[in-house]
Amino acid sequence: MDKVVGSVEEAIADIADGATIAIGGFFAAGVPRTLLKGLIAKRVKGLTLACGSGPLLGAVAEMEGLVANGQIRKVIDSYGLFRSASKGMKSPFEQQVRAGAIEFEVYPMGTLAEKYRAAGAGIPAFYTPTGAGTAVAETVLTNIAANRTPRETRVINGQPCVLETALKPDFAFIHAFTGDAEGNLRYRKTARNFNHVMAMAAKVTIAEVESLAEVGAIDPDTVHTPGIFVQRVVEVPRETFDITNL
Amino acid sequence: MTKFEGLPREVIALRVAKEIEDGSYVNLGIGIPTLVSNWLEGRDVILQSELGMLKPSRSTRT
Repeated sequence: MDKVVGSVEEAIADIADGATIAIGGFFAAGVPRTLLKGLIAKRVKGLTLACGSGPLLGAVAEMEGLVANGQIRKVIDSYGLFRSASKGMKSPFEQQVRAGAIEFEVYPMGTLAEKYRAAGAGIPAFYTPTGAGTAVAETVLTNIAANRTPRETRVINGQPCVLETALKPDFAFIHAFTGDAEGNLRYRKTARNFNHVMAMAAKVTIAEVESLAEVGAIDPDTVHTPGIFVQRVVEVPRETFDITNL
Repeated sequence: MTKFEGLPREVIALRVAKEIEDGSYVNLGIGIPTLVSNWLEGRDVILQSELGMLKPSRSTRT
Protein backbone atom coordinates (compact mmCIF):
# COMPACT_ATOMS: atom_id res chain seq x y z
CA MET A 1 0.00 0.00 0.00
CA ASP A 2 1.85 3.08 -1.21
CA LYS A 3 0.30 6.39 -0.13
CA VAL A 4 3.27 8.53 -1.13
CA VAL A 5 2.52 11.20 -3.71
CA GLY A 6 5.30 12.97 -5.57
CA SER A 7 4.30 16.59 -5.00
CA VAL A 8 2.16 18.90 -2.90
CA GLU A 9 0.12 19.76 -6.04
CA GLU A 10 -0.77 16.09 -6.45
CA ALA A 11 -1.52 15.69 -2.74
CA ILE A 12 -4.14 18.47 -2.78
CA ALA A 13 -5.37 18.03 -6.37
CA ASP A 14 -8.99 17.19 -5.41
CA ILE A 15 -9.55 20.07 -2.98
CA ALA A 16 -12.36 22.21 -4.41
CA ASP A 17 -13.95 25.54 -3.53
CA GLY A 18 -15.92 25.41 -0.28
CA ALA A 19 -13.93 22.57 1.31
CA THR A 20 -13.49 22.29 5.07
CA ILE A 21 -9.83 21.65 5.89
CA ALA A 22 -8.39 20.89 9.32
CA ILE A 23 -5.00 22.55 9.79
CA GLY A 24 -2.72 20.91 12.37
CA GLY A 25 -0.35 22.84 14.57
CA PHE A 26 -0.18 24.95 17.70
CA PHE A 27 1.22 28.36 16.82
CA ALA A 28 4.51 27.56 15.06
CA ALA A 29 4.77 23.89 16.14
CA GLY A 30 3.61 21.16 13.78
CA VAL A 31 2.01 23.47 11.21
CA PRO A 32 1.73 21.99 7.68
CA ARG A 33 3.32 25.05 6.08
CA THR A 34 4.19 23.41 2.78
CA LEU A 35 0.64 22.16 2.24
CA LEU A 36 -0.67 25.64 3.11
CA LYS A 37 1.66 27.13 0.49
CA GLY A 38 0.21 24.65 -2.00
CA LEU A 39 -3.28 25.81 -1.05
CA ILE A 40 -2.31 29.42 -1.73
CA ALA A 41 -0.90 28.50 -5.16
CA LYS A 42 -4.08 26.52 -5.94
CA ARG A 43 -6.30 29.55 -5.18
CA VAL A 44 -9.35 27.49 -4.18
CA LYS A 45 -11.90 29.72 -2.47
CA GLY A 46 -14.66 29.68 0.14
CA LEU A 47 -12.55 27.53 2.47
CA THR A 48 -13.40 26.71 6.06
CA LEU A 49 -10.13 26.25 7.97
CA ALA A 50 -10.66 24.16 11.10
CA CYS A 51 -7.72 24.81 13.39
CA GLY A 52 -6.70 23.80 16.89
CA SER A 53 -4.77 26.65 18.41
CA GLY A 54 -3.50 29.41 16.20
CA PRO A 55 -1.55 27.62 13.44
CA LEU A 56 -2.30 30.63 11.24
CA LEU A 57 -0.68 32.91 13.83
CA GLY A 58 2.44 30.74 13.75
CA ALA A 59 2.50 30.64 9.95
CA VAL A 60 2.06 34.35 9.28
CA ALA A 61 3.18 34.35 5.65
CA GLU A 62 0.83 31.49 4.79
CA MET A 63 -2.10 33.16 6.56
CA GLU A 64 -1.45 36.45 4.79
CA GLY A 65 -1.25 34.67 1.43
CA LEU A 66 -4.61 32.98 1.99
CA VAL A 67 -6.20 36.25 3.11
CA ALA A 68 -4.69 38.23 0.20
CA ASN A 69 -6.19 35.72 -2.25
CA GLY A 70 -9.57 35.94 -0.50
CA GLN A 71 -9.63 32.14 -0.04
CA ILE A 72 -10.97 31.93 3.51
CA ARG A 73 -14.71 31.96 4.26
CA LYS A 74 -14.50 30.81 7.85
CA VAL A 75 -11.96 29.90 10.54
CA ILE A 76 -12.67 27.67 13.53
CA ASP A 77 -10.06 27.95 16.27
CA SER A 78 -9.50 28.21 20.02
CA TYR A 79 -7.02 31.09 19.80
CA GLY A 80 -6.93 32.63 16.38
CA LEU A 81 -6.33 36.32 17.00
CA PHE A 82 -3.15 38.05 18.16
CA ARG A 83 -2.89 38.58 21.91
CA SER A 84 -1.63 42.09 21.21
CA ALA A 85 -4.55 44.26 20.05
CA SER A 86 -2.26 46.77 18.33
CA LYS A 87 -0.56 43.98 16.39
CA GLY A 88 -3.92 42.42 15.65
CA MET A 89 -5.24 45.63 14.12
CA LYS A 90 -2.39 45.41 11.60
CA SER A 91 -3.11 41.79 10.71
CA PRO A 92 -5.05 41.43 7.43
CA PHE A 93 -6.78 38.35 8.82
CA GLU A 94 -7.93 40.07 11.99
CA GLN A 95 -9.10 43.11 10.03
CA GLN A 96 -11.33 40.86 7.91
CA VAL A 97 -12.65 39.08 11.00
CA ARG A 98 -13.46 42.40 12.65
CA ALA A 99 -15.20 43.55 9.45
CA GLY A 100 -17.22 40.32 9.30
CA ALA A 101 -15.74 39.36 5.91
CA ILE A 102 -14.32 36.16 7.40
CA GLU A 103 -16.42 34.21 9.89
CA PHE A 104 -14.50 33.35 13.04
CA GLU A 105 -15.84 30.67 15.39
CA VAL A 106 -14.10 29.95 18.67
CA TYR A 107 -14.24 27.04 21.15
CA PRO A 108 -12.43 26.13 24.36
CA MET A 109 -9.25 24.31 23.33
CA GLY A 110 -9.98 20.94 24.93
CA THR A 111 -13.54 21.01 23.62
CA LEU A 112 -12.19 21.65 20.14
CA ALA A 113 -9.73 18.74 20.44
CA GLU A 114 -12.60 16.49 21.52
CA LYS A 115 -14.74 17.67 18.57
CA TYR A 116 -12.08 16.18 16.27
CA ARG A 117 -11.50 13.07 18.36
CA ALA A 118 -15.25 12.40 18.55
CA ALA A 119 -15.53 12.69 14.75
CA GLY A 120 -12.69 10.21 14.40
CA ALA A 121 -14.35 7.82 16.83
CA GLY A 122 -17.74 8.06 15.10
CA ILE A 123 -19.42 9.92 17.97
CA PRO A 124 -21.78 12.66 16.70
CA ALA A 125 -21.93 14.75 19.90
CA PHE A 126 -20.78 14.80 23.51
CA TYR A 127 -21.42 16.65 26.78
CA THR A 128 -18.63 18.65 28.42
CA PRO A 129 -18.63 20.70 31.64
CA THR A 130 -16.15 23.17 30.09
CA GLY A 131 -17.83 26.52 29.60
CA ALA A 132 -21.03 25.64 31.48
CA GLY A 133 -22.42 28.73 33.18
CA THR A 134 -20.53 31.05 30.80
CA ALA A 135 -21.17 32.58 27.38
CA VAL A 136 -19.88 29.32 25.87
CA ALA A 137 -23.03 27.56 27.10
CA GLU A 138 -25.40 30.15 25.65
CA THR A 139 -24.61 30.23 21.93
CA VAL A 140 -21.90 29.23 19.49
CA LEU A 141 -19.21 31.94 19.82
CA THR A 142 -18.82 33.66 16.47
CA ASN A 143 -18.37 37.16 15.07
CA ILE A 144 -21.41 36.65 12.82
CA ALA A 145 -24.44 37.40 14.99
CA ALA A 146 -26.83 35.42 12.77
CA ASN A 147 -24.83 32.24 13.37
CA ARG A 148 -25.02 32.40 17.17
CA THR A 149 -27.25 29.35 17.47
CA PRO A 150 -28.40 28.49 21.01
CA ARG A 151 -26.77 25.52 22.72
CA GLU A 152 -28.28 22.58 24.53
CA THR A 153 -27.27 22.06 28.13
CA ARG A 154 -27.95 19.30 30.60
CA VAL A 155 -27.06 18.50 34.21
CA ILE A 156 -25.12 15.23 34.45
CA ASN A 157 -24.26 13.82 37.89
CA GLY A 158 -25.09 17.22 39.36
CA GLN A 159 -22.71 19.01 36.99
CA PRO A 160 -24.03 21.41 34.34
CA CYS A 161 -22.75 20.43 30.87
CA VAL A 162 -22.84 21.78 27.32
CA LEU A 163 -23.71 19.66 24.30
CA GLU A 164 -21.00 19.87 21.67
CA THR A 165 -21.05 18.28 18.21
CA ALA A 166 -18.27 16.41 16.43
CA LEU A 167 -16.31 18.25 13.73
CA LYS A 168 -15.58 16.15 10.65
CA PRO A 169 -13.52 18.02 8.06
CA ASP A 170 -13.31 17.05 4.38
CA PHE A 171 -9.51 17.13 4.54
CA ALA A 172 -6.82 17.38 7.19
CA PHE A 173 -3.39 18.91 6.63
CA ILE A 174 -0.95 17.19 8.98
CA HIS A 175 2.72 17.90 9.67
CA ALA A 176 4.73 14.93 10.96
CA PHE A 177 8.44 14.40 11.58
CA THR A 178 8.63 10.87 10.15
CA GLY A 179 6.22 8.89 8.00
CA ASP A 180 6.22 5.78 5.84
CA ALA A 181 4.48 4.75 2.63
CA GLU A 182 1.60 3.18 4.59
CA GLY A 183 0.90 6.51 6.29
CA ASN A 184 2.21 5.61 9.75
CA LEU A 185 3.31 8.86 11.39
CA ARG A 186 5.55 10.04 14.21
CA TYR A 187 5.52 13.64 15.42
CA ARG A 188 8.36 15.48 17.11
CA LYS A 189 7.73 16.64 20.68
CA THR A 190 4.91 19.22 20.98
CA ALA A 191 4.39 19.25 17.21
CA ARG A 192 2.01 16.35 17.84
CA ASN A 193 -0.62 18.70 19.36
CA PHE A 194 -3.82 18.65 17.25
CA ASN A 195 -2.32 16.70 14.35
CA HIS A 196 -3.29 13.25 15.59
CA VAL A 197 -6.96 13.96 16.36
CA MET A 198 -7.35 15.83 13.06
CA ALA A 199 -5.86 12.86 11.19
CA MET A 200 -8.48 10.69 12.88
CA ALA A 201 -11.32 13.07 12.10
CA ALA A 202 -10.94 13.99 8.42
CA LYS A 203 -12.42 12.15 5.48
CA VAL A 204 -9.11 12.58 3.61
CA THR A 205 -5.94 13.07 5.65
CA ILE A 206 -2.88 14.47 3.85
CA ALA A 207 0.38 14.30 5.79
CA GLU A 208 3.52 16.25 4.98
CA VAL A 209 6.55 14.54 6.54
CA GLU A 210 10.10 15.76 7.04
CA SER A 211 11.53 12.31 6.35
CA LEU A 212 10.20 9.16 4.73
CA ALA A 213 11.08 5.90 6.45
CA GLU A 214 11.01 2.40 4.96
CA VAL A 215 7.83 0.50 5.80
CA GLY A 216 8.65 -1.52 8.92
CA ALA A 217 11.43 0.81 10.06
CA ILE A 218 9.15 2.61 12.54
CA ASP A 219 8.73 0.41 15.63
CA PRO A 220 4.96 -0.33 15.72
CA ASP A 221 4.80 0.52 19.44
CA THR A 222 6.12 4.01 18.72
CA VAL A 223 3.70 4.95 15.92
CA HIS A 224 1.69 8.03 16.92
CA THR A 225 -0.88 8.00 14.10
CA PRO A 226 -1.48 4.60 12.46
CA GLY A 227 -1.60 4.60 8.67
CA ILE A 228 -5.27 3.60 8.66
CA PHE A 229 -6.06 7.29 9.35
CA VAL A 230 -3.85 8.66 6.57
CA GLN A 231 -4.69 8.71 2.85
CA ARG A 232 -1.70 10.58 1.36
CA VAL A 233 1.91 11.22 2.36
CA VAL A 234 4.20 13.81 0.80
CA GLU A 235 7.82 14.41 1.75
CA VAL A 236 8.68 18.08 2.31
CA PRO A 237 11.89 19.91 3.13
CA ARG A 238 12.50 20.81 6.75
CA GLU A 239 11.71 24.49 7.13
CA THR A 240 13.16 26.98 9.54
CA PHE A 241 11.06 29.92 10.62
CA ASP A 242 11.24 32.87 12.94
CA ILE A 243 9.18 32.55 16.13
CA THR A 244 10.60 35.58 17.93
CA ASN A 245 7.81 37.94 16.97
CA LEU A 246 4.64 35.91 17.53
CA MET B 1 -29.59 -37.78 -1.93
CA THR B 2 -27.43 -36.69 1.00
CA LYS B 3 -28.45 -33.75 3.13
CA PHE B 4 -26.75 -30.45 2.13
CA GLU B 5 -24.47 -29.47 4.98
CA GLY B 6 -23.29 -26.11 3.75
CA LEU B 7 -20.25 -24.93 1.80
CA PRO B 8 -16.75 -25.87 2.97
CA ARG B 9 -15.25 -23.17 5.18
CA GLU B 10 -12.40 -22.43 2.76
CA VAL B 11 -14.90 -21.87 -0.08
CA ILE B 12 -16.81 -19.36 2.04
CA ALA B 13 -13.53 -17.64 2.88
CA LEU B 14 -12.55 -17.53 -0.81
CA ARG B 15 -15.90 -15.97 -1.73
CA VAL B 16 -15.52 -13.33 1.00
CA ALA B 17 -11.96 -12.57 -0.15
CA LYS B 18 -13.35 -11.71 -3.58
CA GLU B 19 -15.45 -8.96 -1.98
CA ILE B 20 -12.36 -7.16 -0.66
CA GLU B 21 -11.00 -4.36 -2.80
CA ASP B 22 -7.31 -3.49 -3.00
CA GLY B 23 -6.34 -0.70 -0.64
CA SER B 24 -8.73 -1.92 2.07
CA TYR B 25 -8.10 -2.27 5.77
CA VAL B 26 -9.90 -5.43 6.92
CA ASN B 27 -10.67 -6.43 10.50
CA LEU B 28 -10.80 -10.22 10.72
CA GLY B 29 -12.84 -11.81 13.47
CA ILE B 30 -11.91 -15.22 14.84
CA GLY B 31 -13.20 -18.27 12.94
CA ILE B 32 -14.10 -18.38 9.25
CA PRO B 33 -13.23 -14.65 8.89
CA THR B 34 -9.63 -15.51 9.84
CA LEU B 35 -9.51 -18.00 6.95
CA VAL B 36 -10.13 -15.13 4.52
CA SER B 37 -6.49 -14.14 4.99
CA ASN B 38 -5.46 -17.40 3.24
CA TRP B 39 -6.90 -16.01 0.01
CA LEU B 40 -5.33 -12.55 0.20
CA GLU B 41 -1.74 -13.56 -0.62
CA GLY B 42 -0.10 -10.87 -2.72
CA ARG B 43 -3.08 -8.53 -2.47
CA ASP B 44 -2.72 -4.86 -1.48
CA VAL B 45 -4.78 -5.25 1.69
CA ILE B 46 -3.85 -4.50 5.30
CA LEU B 47 -5.35 -6.87 7.84
CA GLN B 48 -6.28 -6.04 11.39
CA SER B 49 -6.50 -8.74 14.05
CA GLU B 50 -9.66 -8.97 16.11
CA LEU B 51 -7.97 -7.25 19.05
CA GLY B 52 -6.87 -4.35 16.86
CA MET B 53 -3.29 -4.92 15.73
CA LEU B 54 -2.66 -3.84 12.15
CA LYS B 55 -0.63 -6.12 9.86
CA PRO B 56 -0.62 -9.28 12.00
CA SER B 57 2.02 -11.64 10.60
CA ARG B 58 1.48 -15.04 9.05
CA SER B 59 2.29 -16.82 12.32
CA THR B 60 -0.80 -15.31 13.96
CA ARG B 61 -3.14 -16.83 11.37
CA THR B 62 -5.08 -19.93 12.32
